[in-house]
Amino acid sequence: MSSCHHCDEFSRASLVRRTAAEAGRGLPAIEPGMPLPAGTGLDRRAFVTRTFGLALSVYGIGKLGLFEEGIARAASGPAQPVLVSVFLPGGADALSVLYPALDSNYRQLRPTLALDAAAGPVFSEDTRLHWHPSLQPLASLHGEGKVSVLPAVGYTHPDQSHFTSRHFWEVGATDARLSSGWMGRYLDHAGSMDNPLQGLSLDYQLQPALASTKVPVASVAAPEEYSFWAPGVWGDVEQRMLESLGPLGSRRKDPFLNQAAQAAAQSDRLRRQLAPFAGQGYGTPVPYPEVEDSFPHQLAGLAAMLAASLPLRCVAITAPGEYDTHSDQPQALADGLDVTARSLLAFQRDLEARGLADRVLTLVWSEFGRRAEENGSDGTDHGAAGSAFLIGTRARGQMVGEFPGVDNLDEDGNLKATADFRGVYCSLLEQWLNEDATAVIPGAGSFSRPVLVK
Amino acid sequence: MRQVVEAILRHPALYLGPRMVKSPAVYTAGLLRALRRGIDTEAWTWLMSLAGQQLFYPPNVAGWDDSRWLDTATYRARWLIASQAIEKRALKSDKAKLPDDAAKLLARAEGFLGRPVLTGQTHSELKRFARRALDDANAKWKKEQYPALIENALRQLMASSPDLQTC
Repeated sequence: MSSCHHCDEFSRASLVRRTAAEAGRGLPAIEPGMPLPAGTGLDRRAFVTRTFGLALSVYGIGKLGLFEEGIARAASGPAQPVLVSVFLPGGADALSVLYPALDSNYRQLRPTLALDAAAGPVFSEDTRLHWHPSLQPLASLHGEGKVSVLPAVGYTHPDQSHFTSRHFWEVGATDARLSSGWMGRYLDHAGSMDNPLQGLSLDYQLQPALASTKVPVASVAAPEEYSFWAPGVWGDVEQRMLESLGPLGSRRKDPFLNQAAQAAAQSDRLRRQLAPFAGQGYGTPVPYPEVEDSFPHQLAGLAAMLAASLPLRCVAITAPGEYDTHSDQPQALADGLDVTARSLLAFQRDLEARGLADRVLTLVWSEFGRRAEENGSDGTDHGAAGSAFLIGTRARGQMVGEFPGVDNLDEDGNLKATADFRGVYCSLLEQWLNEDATAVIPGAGSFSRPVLVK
Repeated sequence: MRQVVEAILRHPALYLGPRMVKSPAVYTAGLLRALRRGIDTEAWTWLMSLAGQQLFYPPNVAGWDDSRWLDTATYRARWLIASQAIEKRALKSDKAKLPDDAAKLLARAEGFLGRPVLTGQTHSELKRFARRALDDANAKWKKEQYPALIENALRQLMASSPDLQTC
């Protein structure tokens, strides 16, 4: 996949966001008035659940000692609905995700990028549109009534900055100053003080949409990878070596030496607890795509965690691919969508095979769509309305908003939104998570609620 | 600038003050220097990032916060850094002929890593490991091959020990 098709702002924003999430303070500005990612500055501590053998980075206030009990209690309670947020980073091109194949304006705006009618399956709810060829897996699920399609979702006065628009989606409001995520605020209302698994970031860092203000949330990447290999060491000697990790971490007088020793000791404890996962990973009832990216593996892990009754409620993950396709769009977009869609199909089949499908809805979104007219470098620039999908057996399976057409673009030449992401959030809160949206989404009363759940 | 750097380098606190946890970059550079190995791979960038440090994107504009460098994730990243640093010179157990003596093996490992200053606690634990691992060699082939495996393990354990994480 091409790695240089995105804009500098996207690269810098990604790096700065990563730094912010790790450190929580002191950001260099990349644009005037740049919002801080939600959750910046949250305290982070490591925690391992003995019951479930998971190493978590826990964010927010709480007593780590109580979490074990809280997680166990939540796990033994009634199963809660789960919402999974999948983010396509960079602004995925809505006019390729679902493209008006035979529209003469479309072909005129996209002389080199327009996709052929025969390339992708027809979208049955609006036969002017075709699915991107890489989205065949989603088209199949849509045919089974398990995908609600939003062909043009966004908000009024669209912001074309990756950083700012993504922030809006993450906090659930067009407010640069809001510092908590929309799912985090939901958990503040509906969650508990002792179950960090209620908001799970499948990442090495906290996904800002999960940033809460009161309750703890957690992140975990790949528990089965927590192993200690050394070159040229195996067998009995390797076992003895690993047994030495703990004693090397015994208490020291010097405070900093002791800090290093404590890290070694904690790592050894963690290694022992995660040993059952080492080198094996999770078993899955269905095959997932075998690709370099960790996304399918993380989704397989998520299904396994749900099957193990882990008390998850909101989960956030970033999809593979870079969608900021200023250049070389055809290949980059096809590659990213391909792995993402095949992985999401496998995840859905996995949930169905495990009897969990009625408990999980997955929202796939991007910070914006792209300009209707292609640029001169085989790509497209930042636009406004984008596409989103809600996947699951409980998804209503009907289009939300309509395709606005490319003959009715906004003043910048972008797709106009026909659905507001804040209304979508209100619907998910009220129809799926059973929470009053006014407590979570600022100005919730002003947004119409599409019917998303059946 | 020169005067400032000179003042920092000449200040007694730099040499006599309490220990500090090394940043991933300092830790990696120290290991490579001890091994007389230059920058011959780009792996250090992602390894250091795993350990919590991305050069030119420091954690905060105020400077480094030494207390945040080590946790279970970054400790493992430092283990990976140590593995990467020593891997090229790992001994082959079917070829290397090493003494079956814990003290001698430990001395060799110390020499390999440039004779770092180890606390008595770490020294004792490493020696105990070597002794126990040698005791496991209950067959002729094990007696021949285990010393090299133990030497490799001593290098790894020493390089990732708390002593080498601080300065």
